[in-house]
Amino acid sequence: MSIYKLSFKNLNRRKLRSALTMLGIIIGVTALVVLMGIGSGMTSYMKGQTESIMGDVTIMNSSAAAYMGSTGDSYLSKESVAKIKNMSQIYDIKEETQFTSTIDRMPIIVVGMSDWNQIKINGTPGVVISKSIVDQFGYKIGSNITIKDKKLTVTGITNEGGFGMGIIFLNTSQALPLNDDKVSSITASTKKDPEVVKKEIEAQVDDVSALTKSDFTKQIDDIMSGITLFVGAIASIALLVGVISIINIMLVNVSERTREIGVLKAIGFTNREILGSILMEAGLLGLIGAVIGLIIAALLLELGIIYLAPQLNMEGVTLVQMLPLWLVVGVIVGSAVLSVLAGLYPAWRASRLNVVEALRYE
Amino acid sequence: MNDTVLEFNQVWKTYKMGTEKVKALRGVDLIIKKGSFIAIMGPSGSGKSTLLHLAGILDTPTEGTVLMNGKNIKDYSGKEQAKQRRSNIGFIFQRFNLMPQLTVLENVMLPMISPDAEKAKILLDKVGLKDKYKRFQKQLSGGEQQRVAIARALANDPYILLADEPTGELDTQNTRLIMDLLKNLNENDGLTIVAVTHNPLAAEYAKELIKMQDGNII
Repeated sequence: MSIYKLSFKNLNRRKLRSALTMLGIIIGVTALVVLMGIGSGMTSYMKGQTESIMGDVTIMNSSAAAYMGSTGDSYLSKESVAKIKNMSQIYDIKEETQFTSTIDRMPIIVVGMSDWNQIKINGTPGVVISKSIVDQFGYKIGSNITIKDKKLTVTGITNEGGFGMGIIFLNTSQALPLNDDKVSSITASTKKDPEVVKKEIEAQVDDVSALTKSDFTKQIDDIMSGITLFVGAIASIALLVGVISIINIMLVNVSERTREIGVLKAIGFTNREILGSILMEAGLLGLIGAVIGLIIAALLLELGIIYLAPQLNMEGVTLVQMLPLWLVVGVIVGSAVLSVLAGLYPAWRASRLNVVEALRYE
Repeated sequence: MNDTVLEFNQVWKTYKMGTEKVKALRGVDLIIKKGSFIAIMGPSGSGKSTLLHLAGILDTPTEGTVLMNGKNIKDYSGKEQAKQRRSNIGFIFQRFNLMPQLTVLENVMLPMISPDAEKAKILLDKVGLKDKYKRFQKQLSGGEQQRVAIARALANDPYILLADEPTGELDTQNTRLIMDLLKNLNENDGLTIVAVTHNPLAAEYAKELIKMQDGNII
């Protein structure tokens, strides 16, 4: 029976008090892990998607590249396209085109598709409209739509689509003529290291930027880590409140147990041992709270994956992506360490108690 | 062979109580020999508890010296004082002061330098608490609690047992039981015991009686 085992027993002594103190930590950890988990899950998912659908390099107009491949209405010049197509370092060259148009004065985006596996379609590839267009105009498979005076028959419907913006997906071969054969970007596989090819392309063709998969994933990382950090900082406030409640409750505990601490000293425990036992008690509050919070967060994230991910077109995102090891370890260690720090002042007070006065304490 | 366990030489102890200075001990001289059983009696404020605290290295004198086995207790560091208390001194208190979150057995094992459940059981058997190892403080009578406290005080085989009003919260029957137990420990195991008490019945069990008044032995 060591004094440190006493710390475990002390937690059990005032169950409601311990539970309420832990609740602060649990809420903080749950909020932090859920929000960071969503951020981390989205990052991994987006990176995974990007890597699976992208060619080794994506070449676009330099001005467009600055906006992470969102080409908008910025196109490669005909000379550039011709030059790129003639390059020997690349193969499996696919032209992509994307432009804005209108249907009944509603702005829409037309996207040329060279690989239909990128989206999920209800129906068949060819002329696929997004759900928002179905909702707006009541079109269904077989309906006729007109884009730039060309009549097309809808072959499929997809849930993909940027935040309510209507999108029509066409075969690239169909979309290019509608856009005066203007190419937004070219994706291709490379015969050697994409980083080397990227430099060669940019050196040989004017006004183009070539982005490799790692350029894209790095940009995703940059943007998402900024967002995740910001959200995490806000959620950390909840955890901080939990930690402050540990300081408070440990001060109450120490004050209540003044005589007990006096007895421990009288029977020969050193100041350092008393300090250690109080720190351990505080640390345990944080550690147990963090583990429970983590379990709750994992359950919430799993529920999110089951019920929300399909609606957000994020099927395939996994709990492992949302709860990377660094997050799990970081939250548990961080919470325990913060709690130990929170116990520092109460523990110091306990260890400095005058033993004679403590024994007289009523 | 020197059989002096504790030696008080012109010991003064002054406390500050608010703005006032209280002279709790005023030049006490006392020698406690190995194997003695001393009862200290005296009115409240006579300095008997202060004397016990100094004997137990819970406090140090303002003036004079307290020698434990020939060594001045002031020369011990805080850590060494704790070590001395743990290995050489046993304490029992008026209010028993058991840890309520621990079982009887765990309470006895708590101060053990090398925790040994078997030894704890032997000690509990010795104080008449066989089969109550797993009880908690609230399940015991006052007398039983004080017996657990005695077993705890003996956990590291101390050479001196200090008792501060050990029967202060007990009825006559339990007072006899506890004092019989202390007498046995003194006579059979040669344990040195110093007990502060108000109770003449308890004091009768000691071999020696010291009376205190106004911070000194009379």
